[in-house]
Amino acid sequence: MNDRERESLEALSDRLYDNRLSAEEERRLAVALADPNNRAFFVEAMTFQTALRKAGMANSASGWSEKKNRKVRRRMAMWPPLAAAAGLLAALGIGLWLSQTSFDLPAPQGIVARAESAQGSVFGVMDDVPERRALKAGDSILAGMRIETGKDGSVALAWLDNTARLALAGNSKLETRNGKPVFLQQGALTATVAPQPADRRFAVETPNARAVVIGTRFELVAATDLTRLTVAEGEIELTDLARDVSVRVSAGLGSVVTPRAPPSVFPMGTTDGLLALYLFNESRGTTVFDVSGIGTPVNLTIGNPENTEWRTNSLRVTGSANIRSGGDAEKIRRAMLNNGALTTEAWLRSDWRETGSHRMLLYKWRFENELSLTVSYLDQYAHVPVSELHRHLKHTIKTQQYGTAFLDDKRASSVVNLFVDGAYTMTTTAGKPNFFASQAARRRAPEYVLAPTPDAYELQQGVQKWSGELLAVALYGRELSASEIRENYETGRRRYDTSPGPVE
Amino acid sequence: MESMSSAANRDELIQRFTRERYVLEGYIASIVRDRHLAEDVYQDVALEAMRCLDRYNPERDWRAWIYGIARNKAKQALSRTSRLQPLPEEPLQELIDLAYAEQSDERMDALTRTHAWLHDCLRAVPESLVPLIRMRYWDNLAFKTIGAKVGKSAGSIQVALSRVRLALMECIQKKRVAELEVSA
Repeated sequence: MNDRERESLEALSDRLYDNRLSAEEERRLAVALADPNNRAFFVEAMTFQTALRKAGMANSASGWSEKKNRKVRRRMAMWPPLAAAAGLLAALGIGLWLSQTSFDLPAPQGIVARAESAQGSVFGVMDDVPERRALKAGDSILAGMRIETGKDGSVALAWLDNTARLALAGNSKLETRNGKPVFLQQGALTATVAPQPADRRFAVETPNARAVVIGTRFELVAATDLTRLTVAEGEIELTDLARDVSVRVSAGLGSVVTPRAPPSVFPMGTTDGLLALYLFNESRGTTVFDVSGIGTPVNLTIGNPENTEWRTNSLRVTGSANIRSGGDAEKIRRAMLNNGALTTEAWLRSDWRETGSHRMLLYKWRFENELSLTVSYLDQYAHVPVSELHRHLKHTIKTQQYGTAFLDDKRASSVVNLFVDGAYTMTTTAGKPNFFASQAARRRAPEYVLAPTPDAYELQQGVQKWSGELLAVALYGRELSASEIRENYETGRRRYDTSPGPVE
Repeated sequence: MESMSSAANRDELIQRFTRERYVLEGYIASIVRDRHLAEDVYQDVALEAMRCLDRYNPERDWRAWIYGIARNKAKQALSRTSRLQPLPEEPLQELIDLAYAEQSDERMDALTRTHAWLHDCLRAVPESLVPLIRMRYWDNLAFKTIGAKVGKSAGSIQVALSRVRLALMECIQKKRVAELEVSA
C-alpha cells in the first residue's frame, strides 16, 4: 500500500463518515477493500475518524472561532509567492500548510486541557468573540480559551500533559494562554500541580500577581486589586507584579498581594467557608481591609485610632479601639442566615502575659446591618442590643467557635464552644450573654484553660482593658471541626511565636 | 463454562464494550454515515447487549456477537431515518463487515487507544491549522463555509485537512508502535 493509495483510502473513509461518497467513490472504495491490507487500514481510519470527531467540543459552533479564523486568513494573506502562481494556488497553499505540519517540531499547543467535570453555568469564550458556549465534561480546552463560571458553576480541568489539575470555583474567569501562565482574571481556583523543571514551571497570573508553582496544591483567589494565595502542599513563589517583590509560600501558609502593602506570609489553614480575613498589615490609616477576596469586602474602620498603633504586620491596641465595619456586612449576615453557624479565629499577642500569640475567644461580633469588632472592654459584651436578626436566628444558630459571636440574645437557644490554642475549653449556651463573667460558666467548665492565666482571668472578669497586638482574624461562615481548629492552630503556631514567657 | 450472565462476565463485557467504543462506533458510522446517529446506535447496542446477555453463548466470538447486534441496530436506525440512504448491501457492506471481522484481537486492542494518542498528537498540530480542524470536525462546518471564513477555496481546505488527518494518523501509528515496543 503506497502513500497515494493510503491517502485515497483515508479520504474515502472521511467522506463515507459524512455520507459524501458519490456512486463512483463507493465503487472505488469497494475495489480498494478487496485488498486485506486496505481493509486493515480502513478499520484504523474509521476508528480515527470517530476519535477525531469526538476530540473537540461537541456543542461548539463556529461563532467563537471568528478571531482565530481571522488570524488564519491574515496568515494566508501573507503568502504573496502563492498568489504569483495563480494556477497552482490551491496546491501550493496546501504545500505551505503541510510544511507546517511536521509534528516532530515543537509546535504551539492547540488543545491544552480537558474538562473533567462541569457543574452549573460554565462557559468557554474564545478571544474577543462575545458569544459564549457551554462547557461540559469531556470538552477540550483550547489555548487562548477563557473559561467563565457563573455563580452556581464550577469546572475541573486536567492538563493533557498531566502537569496540572485546576478546579475553578463559581464567579471566576480563567484564561489559558499559549506557552504562558494561565491567567486568573477573577474568582478562585484550587490546583494540584506536579513538580516541573525550573525552566518550565507551571504558573498562574492574576491582574496584580504571579504564582510560580514549585509543585504543590494551592488555592488562588483574584478580586479587585487583590490576590490571595493559600498553599496546602509544596511551595509557591508569589510575585507582586507592581512592586516586583516575591515571597515564597510553603504548605500551611498564605499570602496576599494588594496595592496597600508588600506581600507578607501568614499562617493559613483551611479556607473552606472563609468569609473575611484581616491581616492588620496596612501599616497606616484607619482602615483594616478584608483581604479574603470573597464577595464584597467587609472592611473595618478603627473608631478610636488614638488607642491603636500600627506595627509591622500587626495592630497594637492600647485602649478602646472600636473597630467596626463602615457599612453593611451583608455576606457575613447572609452566611449566618444560610448556615446558622460562625467561627472566628483570632491571633493576638497579649500585653498581660508574655504568652506569645494565642488563638482564643476574644472578640464579639455583633450582627445588625454592620459588623463590629470590639477589642477593648470585654464587659461591653453585656450591652449589645438584641436585634431583629438575632430574634430571627434564635432557633437556628449553633455556633461553634474559638472566637465569639453575637449570642447575646437571651431567648436564643444557641451554643458557643470556645477553643483556646487549638484546644476545646468550654461551652456556653445563650441566655448567658456575658458568659465571660459568668461564674456559673466557669464552674461548668473547670478545665477552662484560660482560667489559670492572668489574661484569661481578666478577660473573664471583664473589668480591665485589654491591650496587645492583633495579628490576624479570620471569619468562617460555618462550624470548623475540632480537628480543623487543631490543625489551624498547629499551622499558625509554627509561624507565630507561641512559646509561653515568664509570668509577671 | 461460566455463564456470561454472571456479574463478572457482565463487568467484563461492559469493560470490553467501553474500551472498544471508538472502533465499534466507526463500524456503525460506516453503515449509518452520520456521526450523531452512530452515537445513538452505539447506545442502543449497549442496551441490547445487556438485555440479551443471558442468551449469549460464551463459546461464540464476542466480537462477532456484538458487531452483529450493531449491524442490526444500525440498519433499524437507517430504516427509521428517511434523510439517510441505506448502504447498498453488495459488495461494499460485506467488505466492510469482513474488514472488521478479520482483524485480530491484538490489532483491535491496539486501536482502542486511538483517541488517547490522538489527543497527544493534536497538541502538536500547528496553531494555524487548529481552527480548520475545529470548524470541520467539531463545529461540523462544510468545506465551502470554512473556505469562505479563511479566504480559501473549499477544495484547498479539503485537501489540506486530508493531509493533516494523514499526519495525525501517522503520529498515532508511531505512538502505537512505540507503546508496543515498550510493552515488548
